[in-house]
Order: sequence, then structure tokens, then C-alpha cells
Amino acid sequence: MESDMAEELQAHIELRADDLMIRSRLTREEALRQARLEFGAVEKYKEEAREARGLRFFDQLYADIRYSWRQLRKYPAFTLAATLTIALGISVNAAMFSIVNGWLKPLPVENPDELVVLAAMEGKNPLPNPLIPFPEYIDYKDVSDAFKDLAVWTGLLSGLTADGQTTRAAGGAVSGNYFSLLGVEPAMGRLIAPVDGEFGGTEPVIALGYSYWVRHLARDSAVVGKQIRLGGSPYTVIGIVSEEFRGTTSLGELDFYVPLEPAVKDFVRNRDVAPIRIIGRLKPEVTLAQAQASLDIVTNRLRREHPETNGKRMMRVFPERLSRPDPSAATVLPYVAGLLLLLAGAVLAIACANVLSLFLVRGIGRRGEMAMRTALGASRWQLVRVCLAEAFLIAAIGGIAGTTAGSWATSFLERVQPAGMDGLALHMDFGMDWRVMVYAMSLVTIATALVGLLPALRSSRAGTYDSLRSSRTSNAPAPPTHRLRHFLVAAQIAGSVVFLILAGLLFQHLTHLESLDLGFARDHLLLVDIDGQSTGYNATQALSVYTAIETRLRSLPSVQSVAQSVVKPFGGVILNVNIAAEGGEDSLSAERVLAQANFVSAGFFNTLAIPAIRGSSFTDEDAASVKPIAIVSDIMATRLWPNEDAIGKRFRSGIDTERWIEVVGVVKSIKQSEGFQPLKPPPPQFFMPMGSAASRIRTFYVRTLVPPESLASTVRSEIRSIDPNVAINHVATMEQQVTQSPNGFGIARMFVYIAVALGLLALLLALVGTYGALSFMVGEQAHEIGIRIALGASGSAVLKIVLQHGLGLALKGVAAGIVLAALAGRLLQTIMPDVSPFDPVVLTTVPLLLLTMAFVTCLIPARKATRIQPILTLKSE
Amino acid sequence: VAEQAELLPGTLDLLILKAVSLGPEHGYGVLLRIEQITGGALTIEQGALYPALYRLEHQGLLDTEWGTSDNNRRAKYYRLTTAGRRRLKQDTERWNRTVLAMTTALNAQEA
Repeated sequence: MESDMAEELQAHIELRADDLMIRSRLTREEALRQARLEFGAVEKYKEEAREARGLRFFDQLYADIRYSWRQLRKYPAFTLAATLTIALGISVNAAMFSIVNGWLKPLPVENPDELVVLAAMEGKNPLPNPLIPFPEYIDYKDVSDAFKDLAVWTGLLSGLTADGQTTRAAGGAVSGNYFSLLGVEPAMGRLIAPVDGEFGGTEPVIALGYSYWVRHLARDSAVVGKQIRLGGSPYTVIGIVSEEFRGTTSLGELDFYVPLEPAVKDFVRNRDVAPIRIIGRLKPEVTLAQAQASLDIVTNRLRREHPETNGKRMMRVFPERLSRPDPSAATVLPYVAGLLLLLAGAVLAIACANVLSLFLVRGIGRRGEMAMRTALGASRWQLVRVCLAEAFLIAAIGGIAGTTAGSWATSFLERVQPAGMDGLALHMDFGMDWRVMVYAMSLVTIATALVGLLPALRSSRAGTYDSLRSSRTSNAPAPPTHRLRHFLVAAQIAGSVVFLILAGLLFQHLTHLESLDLGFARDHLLLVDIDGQSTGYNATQALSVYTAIETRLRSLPSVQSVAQSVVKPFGGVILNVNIAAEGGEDSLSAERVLAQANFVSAGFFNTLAIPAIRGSSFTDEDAASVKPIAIVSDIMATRLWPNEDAIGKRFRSGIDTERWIEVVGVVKSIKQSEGFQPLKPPPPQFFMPMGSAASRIRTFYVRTLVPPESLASTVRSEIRSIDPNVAINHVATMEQQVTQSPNGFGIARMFVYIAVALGLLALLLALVGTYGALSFMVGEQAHEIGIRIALGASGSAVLKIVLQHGLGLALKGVAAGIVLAALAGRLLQTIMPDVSPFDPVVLTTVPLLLLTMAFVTCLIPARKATRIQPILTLKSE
Repeated sequence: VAEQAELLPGTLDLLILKAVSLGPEHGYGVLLRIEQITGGALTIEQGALYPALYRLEHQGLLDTEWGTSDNNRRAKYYRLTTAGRRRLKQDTERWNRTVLAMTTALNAQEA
């Protein structure tokens, strides 16, 4: 195009010269010269020609960017500061969005938006329960006008033995149509399919997850058709699931899939036990509301037919994407995600404010340049474009750096495995994908507009004459730019105050929750989870090994006592059963008292320091026996026998409905956490002798006289010395279990950490902003300060002027921040009603911290001001 | 020498279309032909021709093709497209109406 044009214009000149040679009898050289003169300004016409062809936009864009690039390179400090600040702001956002995206992105299956999860709502309990009795699945499966199909699965935790090694693995027992409903294909072999029967059949077959196959079997394709052991029993591998699919659970990863039928065969007609999860696919044109309406019809029928179990029950349908890890998240998750993104967005806004004030400062320095360009005929739009191009360059480079840093941070987060996961791997996918890219690019655009637009309009408005005449006006009152910059500094400080106060409130709240009495002593307690089932023990072997372990551990120095149980507090597993008191209603579920059962050794209450209220504990002989006796929690005692002495009373449970169990003791309840919610009164709990437990899974409790973590490796090796093959799932302290596990305060703690980190980042940015603004002020007023010093102002007087200015801004910011934080605290209270928005510690610490930091930051430019040499500043005029 | 007239804004395009309609021509040729058909009454600054030519090409009114001039120089030739022919016809009519109206108006006598 461009060369074409040059050639054409050259041809014109040659042709004209040919003519001139003939007409005016000029020499060739003279003729060419004459022709050029007649033609006029070639470059100007070229430019017009380009414009006429519509190429001008890209041309100009390219020129603007090249020009900006040169400008930015001329001021490396400015460019570096601005780019880093934007990069910091964008990295936080990219990371946060990757996390939210990883959490909420659709499952890698066919039409994931059609997938729904069913969950039961019981009476007034606001939390939906995704676990459902099997008969109800059959009832609801008939609602075929809304659903293409419903499938069933239930989570299993078991030792998986392949290649001689046993690892604890999470898996699913799935119905025959599970994979076909999702549209998941095998990577190799076949999967459990409808031909295996509605509930997957009774054959011991197993399909393995792709990553398990890679990690433990080194992609050995010969494994299909071979036998491996699951929970000690042989299973035949029929296939490997496709690589992308990691199960219908977002946080973990399912390593194996087995037929559902064996897992539910005992509960097929039992409406009391809720062992299964239902996932469904809506018909394409059916909305969530329509599906809900069709479920309600069945719900009403079930209420009439089974008033004792379904009297207060309804089934709700949730979109699968919001049901992670389970449907109780559906009401909170969008808010939490939105809040996190909003907080990250606020950090970016502070970063932009910082860069904006840098731009404004430089805009003043460049008034002369801009005026010169105007005088030379640049249009206002051209000036605006140059400023925008600079802002864009900085935002784009910052955006690329920030997104890269953000994805590093998230890939690091992906690998972090919180303690208290009971040896299971947490699987999260925070990888970059097009959604993260689009988000980051829109942030770059927003940042460009935030940072570029205002300085662009400002500098393009600069008066030509005034600016050219004198590039420095020292005695004029603060122009609007100053006021704006001062406002920006104060706003940044206010923003970081809000952040830190909110983070502080959450922190205080969490500390308060964690310090609550849990019903047992959590210190000096080491937990060891052992899976004898997967190791392949039969009942007798298990008993002898466990007894040996307990004896050995007890004999260790600095061990005070040792105990065992099947279920551990703040662990992921709960044994829910219905209970009924003797002499009460006939049906077990009539009163719908749901209790948590556990099986414990004699030393359990003593080792965990659970206070006894009445009666006695188990003797060693009791604990080893199958006697129908139990120790119950105080809450259970008052629930079943209000105003009566529970000792000697009898009840029965869903474990064995024919057996009456006699209460021999009452203890205080063990509390459990509900994330940020306070510890609600726990459900009724009861403890039976270990001898009657069918499960061969144990948690050992070791109460130590020394810090418990110091004994961890000793305990491991002692257990190995009894049986080197025993599967030790997990060793952790009770403190870790409570504070770090997702079943304890782990998730809440992560949330608080994120808030604190964002708050500190905001503070850092605000301090950088304050420093920049103040340094600029000192630089700009160097002349005035020089005169003051020349007139005899002391160093401390100069220091005072600058500090007053800086701290004045900081004070305004802090005051505004406190007011805003009070409002934000109220908002927080609507999500978490138990947070107290007026925590005196936080409300004094944060402002004090901020003012101190601001003071230190202001000192640097202030001291610089005292060192101004009057003679130099006066000379430079 | 005929008296020089000033080019009215917007008339250059029409003149170019007219000149090219008489047969394909390169840029310099268009310039000469305009001089010729206006009897030398209208002169155009030579460089100013090209932005106008490109604009018309961009609008799809002119088509271009590289060729050889009478004195054996490589030059780009402009030709009227169908759209260009239509435009020339419309603009000529509009111009005539304007001229008629202006002439009538300017010749009006005081009543």
C-alpha cells in the first residue's frame, strides 16, 4: 500500500517533469525540481491520502504507541513504579478470579448447565441435606417430565491397593446410568454402564480415575482386566475414566468408581437412612422453577404416604455449579465469590488511584510539552490519545505481568495441602483459561480508562500561552490537580483502613470461635488414623493389632494416655442414626431424633478430657465387649428424657433397631464447627463400647506431656514396628484438626488470611501513594521551602510543615475509613450475624497502625525537605 | 489567458469523476484533462489530487490498474466503476439544479 502510493506520486512527478522539459525547455534536473515544487508537500498529501483510504486509525495507533513507548523509556522510574503498581493490583484480581473460576466452572461433561443436584430440606433447618434415603430416589425418578434422567452416587473412602501399596482414596459408588447421564467416556476399557443394571450390578468391578492410573500405575494399559484390592477385597478393573473428568465433586477427586448396589442393598426400603446423592439432568427447555414445581408434587404425595419420615421434608433442586462442595453452599457461594472479587477489585482501584496520581504529577511536568504540541497544531483529541496510549501501555504490561504472577500464585495454592484432610488429596483446578484471560483483559481496559482518561482531559486543556511562558508557577494557589491528588491519597488510606478493619473483625471473630470451649481439651493431643480394613485385617487380627498399638504407644515416654474411637471430632465422617427412647413412640423415626454415634475405648473420655456429668465411664472390660450399653451426651439425655435421670434408661438406634441400649453415663457434648457460624448446640451424641463396632477403621488419640507434633515420627515408627503393612492414613495434632481442617475452621481461616493479605496489600499501596504525593509536594515547593530556609526557618519548622501536610491527609483518610468500615461492618453482619462490627481492639489498632505507618512514610520526604539548599533552588529560577 | 476561478468545496470529486469518465487516465493525466475540459479556468494544486483520488477509490467509485503511459512510464490508471458512473450522473444532476437555483436567485430583480 505504502510503496504503491510512493511509486504513484513519483510517477506523477516524472510525468510532469517530462512535460516541463518539452514545454519550458528545461533540463531534466530543473524539470524535476520544478515538478516537485508544483506538487506541494508530499508528506502532507500522503498523510491525507492514507486518511482517505481509512488506514489512518491503525497508523496513528501505532505511532501513538511508539511515541508513548519512547516517553515511558525516558522516565524509567515512573514507568517501573506505575507498571509494578498496576501489576500488583491485577495479579490479586487474576488470582482471585482464577480461584472463583476454578470453583464455579462447569464440569467437563456434556451440557453441564443442565446438571442439577437434589437436596432435602428438613423442617425449619435452613441447610439443605444432599444425602437422601434410597426409596425417595425411586419416588422422584418418576418425575420424568422435568428430568431427562436422575442418577445416584455416594462417596466412599477406602484403602485402594494397587502395585502392593495401599493408599487412602476417595471414590464413588455409582448407579448404572451415572456415566451415561453425564456423557463421560472411558479413556480405556469400559465404564459402569446401564447394561450393568440400574444400580451398577453386584459384580466386584472397578473403574479407575485417570490421575490415579497415572500416579500409581504409570499408565499401564495392561491393568484393565486385572484385579486390585479395595478395602481389602478383590475387584476387577474394567476401565479408566477420561482424563478431564474428576468426579461430580469439585474439591476432591474421585480415584475409583464401583457399582452402587452393594453400597445400598441394606437400605433399599429404608426411609430413615440417607446414604445417597442424586444428580440429574434437566430436559433442555425445562427451567429450575419448573423442575422444582414437578418435585413439589411428589413431595406432597410423600408427605401423605409417609408422614412419620417425610412429614416435614421437601426436596429442592439446585444447579450443580452452585452445589460445591454441596448444596448448602448454593445460598452463600455467589456472595462469597462476589465479595472476594469485590475486595480484589478494590485493591486494583487503590492501585489505579496511585498510578493516576503519578500521572497527574507528571502531567504537570509535561504541561510545557503539551502546550508546545497544541501550539504546533495538535488537536485536543490527539493529545488525549497520546495520554491514553501511555496509560494503555502501562496497564497492558502491568496486566501481563500481573496475570502471570497471579497464575503463579494460584498454581502454588493448588499444591498447598491443608492439614486435617485425613490423608486425602485436595484437588483444585485454578488454572488459566479463556475466562481468566477475558477477565484480565477487561481489567486492563478499565485500568486504562481509570488511569488515562482524567490526565488526558486535564493536560489537553492546559492553557497554551500560560504554560509556554512559564513552566513553573510557584506561588499560585493549589490548582484542581492538587486537590484531586490529595483526595486520591486520602481515599487510598480510607480504603486500606476499611480493608484492615474488616480483616481484623473477621480475624477477631475467628479467634473468638476457636477459643470457645469445644467440649474437650485439644492441646497435647496427637491423632493417628489407621485403616485396618484396607490393610486386609479380619476382625480378630484388627483387635490384636490395635490392642498391641495402644499398649505400645502407652509405654512411650512422655505419653500420658492413649485412646481409640471409630469417629473423630472435627473429622469428615459422621455416623448419623435415628434414636428413640423406650416407652416413647413406636417408630424409630417418629420423633425424628437424629444422633451421632461413635464407638470408643475405655480411655476415650479421660484422654480427650471430656467432662463426665453423671454415671460411670466404660471399664476396659466393657469397652472390649458387645454389651448393649452407652454413654450419652447431656444434650441427648435431656432430649430423650427431659427432667429425668438418664442413667439406667434404655433407647434403641438405627444401627440395630431390635436392641435396647442402656445408658450408663452422661458426658458433656462435643461441639462441632460450621465455618463462620458459631458453634450451635450439637446434635445428640452417644458412645458405644469399641467391641461392638463393625468398622475396622480407628483413630488413636495420644495425650502427650510434650508438644504433640514432636512425637509424630516416633508414633509412626512404633506402629510400623508392630505391622509394617498397616495403612496409616494421617497423623496430625488435634489443634491442626480443629483449626486447619475443612471440617474445623480451615475454610474460615483461609478466608481470613485472604482478607488480611488483601488489607496489607492495600496498606502498602496507600503508603506508596502517600510517599509519592508528598515527595512531589516537596519537589514542587522546593523553591518556597528554600526561601523559608534562607529566611531562617529551622529544620524542625520545615519538617513540621511537610509532616502536617502528610499527616493531615492521613487523618482525613483514616476518619473516612472508620466511617466507611462501620457501614461495611454492618453489611458483613448481614452475612455473618455473629460478627461484632464494633470491636474496640480492631478499631483502635488499625487507625493507630495506619497513622504510625503514615508518619514513618512522611518522614522520608520531610527530611529531604530540610536538606534543601536555598542557594540551589533560588539559582535555578 | 482565461480568468482563474476558485474551486468550490466539494467540486473536485465531481471534476475527477467527469475527467475519468472520458476514458481511463493516470493521476497526472486526470490533472491535465481537468485543465483541458475547464479551459484552464480551474487549476488544482497537484498534490491535492491524490487524497481525492484515494477517497473515491476507497468509496468504490474508481477502479485502479497499473499500466504504461504514452511516453513509456509505469503509472497507475483510474477507471470509473458502475457505482462511479451512477454517482457522476446523480451529482451532475444535483449540480445543475443547484446552479439553476443559484442563478435564478442571483438574477432576481427587486420588485
